Amino acid sequence: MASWDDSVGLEPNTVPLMLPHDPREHFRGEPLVELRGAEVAVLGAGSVGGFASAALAGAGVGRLLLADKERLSEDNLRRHLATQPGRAKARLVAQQLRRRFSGVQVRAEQFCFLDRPERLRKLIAAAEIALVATDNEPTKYLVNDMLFTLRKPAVFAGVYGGGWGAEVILVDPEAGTACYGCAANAVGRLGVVIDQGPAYVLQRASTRPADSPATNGHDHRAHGNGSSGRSSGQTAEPGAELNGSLTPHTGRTNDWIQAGLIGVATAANLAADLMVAWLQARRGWHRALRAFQSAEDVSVWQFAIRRVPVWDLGPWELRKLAVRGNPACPQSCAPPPRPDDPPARDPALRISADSGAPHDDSPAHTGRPHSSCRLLHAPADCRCKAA
Amino acid sequence: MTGNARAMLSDLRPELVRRILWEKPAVEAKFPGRFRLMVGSRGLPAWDGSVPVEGRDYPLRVTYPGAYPGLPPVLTTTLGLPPNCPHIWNRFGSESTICWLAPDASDPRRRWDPQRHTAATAMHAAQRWFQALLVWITLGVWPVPDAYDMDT
Repeated sequence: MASWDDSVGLEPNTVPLMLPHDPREHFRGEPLVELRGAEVAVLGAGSVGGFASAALAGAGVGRLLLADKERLSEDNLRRHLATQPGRAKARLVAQQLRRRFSGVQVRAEQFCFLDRPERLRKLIAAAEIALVATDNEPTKYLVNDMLFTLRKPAVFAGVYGGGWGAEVILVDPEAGTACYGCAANAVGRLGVVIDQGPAYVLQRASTRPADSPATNGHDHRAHGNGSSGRSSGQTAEPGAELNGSLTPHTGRTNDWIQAGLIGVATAANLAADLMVAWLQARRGWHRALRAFQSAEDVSVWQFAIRRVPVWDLGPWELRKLAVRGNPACPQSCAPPPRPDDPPARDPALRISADSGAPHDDSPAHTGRPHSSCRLLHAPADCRCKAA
Repeated sequence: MTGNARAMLSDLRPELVRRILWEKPAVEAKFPGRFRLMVGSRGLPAWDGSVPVEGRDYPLRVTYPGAYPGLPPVLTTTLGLPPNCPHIWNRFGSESTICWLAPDASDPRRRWDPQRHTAATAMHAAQRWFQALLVWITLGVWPVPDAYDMDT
């Protein structure tokens, strides 16, 4: 049972329940951290964003700002909270939330983040924390940039590995975490695919040769952003393509199968739980966030439901990753050097010496887990306890 | 930087300004004295100048899109190009947009990487593009793949 020392002077049963069917009444032994005043921006009201919004509302978050440019399609139905194809996703999710949680205030906007970056910036500035559940990397990098001028935190959530891997990344400039770019590089996602393919689809095993380039463990077309990205190294589940309810997304009928609600819900709940823990920590109750992080610098969580080869993880495995920012990072997210750090190369000199781009060859960017502790850094830099 | 450029920067998103200022040393180091920061026709910040190729200067404008650095810079040239010139994204009046990135490149080295790449990277890619253009005009063959290998 939580110690009352962990709370901010809260007594049990004194915080009024705000909802007709408040789930918190089943946890009266725990301190109730009031989140009614919390305001969260949900960028991307797709599968992950939709379910994460419901989880946040259910946890007591009082104000949600939802934004997405898309309308719900038939293909989305098998994994989306909303049920009316043809209408704006953000508005549909908002309707669902208002229907289920009478105490929550929800605002919905429909616009393209890349076309209207100033409007996106206002959303992030208005919120206490943002959930980035978009299905494209360009938006994530755009948001990443904004977080460091606004000094706002965000949780980036995505589904990977053909829909069987959930990943969340916490970016908190005030806490000194690595930025999204450094974290993405650390887990092996280099660069931005500008024009991504369909949602995390699995190719039929029969249509892809065994030695297809797509089975390369570092094929980063497997960007399961939100619900998007091709599979990397995943073959179709036996029998999965026989499900008559599956609707191919790309128009290439009989070639691609979409993964479903299991991975989506996992990523959504992982992200929502992390955000609730962060909000609680901001209000004085740190236990949940400490349990999440368990070690300094942990800001990336990967959970594999099935085997995710590109992560070398699963089934049913959770990995926590500590990522340090690159000294040459454009966001300057790298922490101050420690006394035993190797000498840093002057980024300005590196810029002038090459094609114009700073290089990211710091230990955080090796992209391969250290075998002793499974964190992504070179063995010489390991300061962790061996697993 | 011109006075107009300074005024223009004050109207931009702060993070875009910070990014441009971060990239400025790279541009000036790689192409000293060749580019100036200005406001493009659509009100977007851009580097305007030329890149040297085989002893000749080729005009180039590197425009920052509104969503930069999530999206890569746009490269345009006012150089008169043959109507059938390959690897042109589109043409508008006398301006042609160079195709320098494969949108869905599977090879990470051929992708835009906001953590590492700058306008100077795009300028170097344009230099390579113009070199390829010369080969194509001479031999009728485009000598390199579409997408620029960012690590060359």
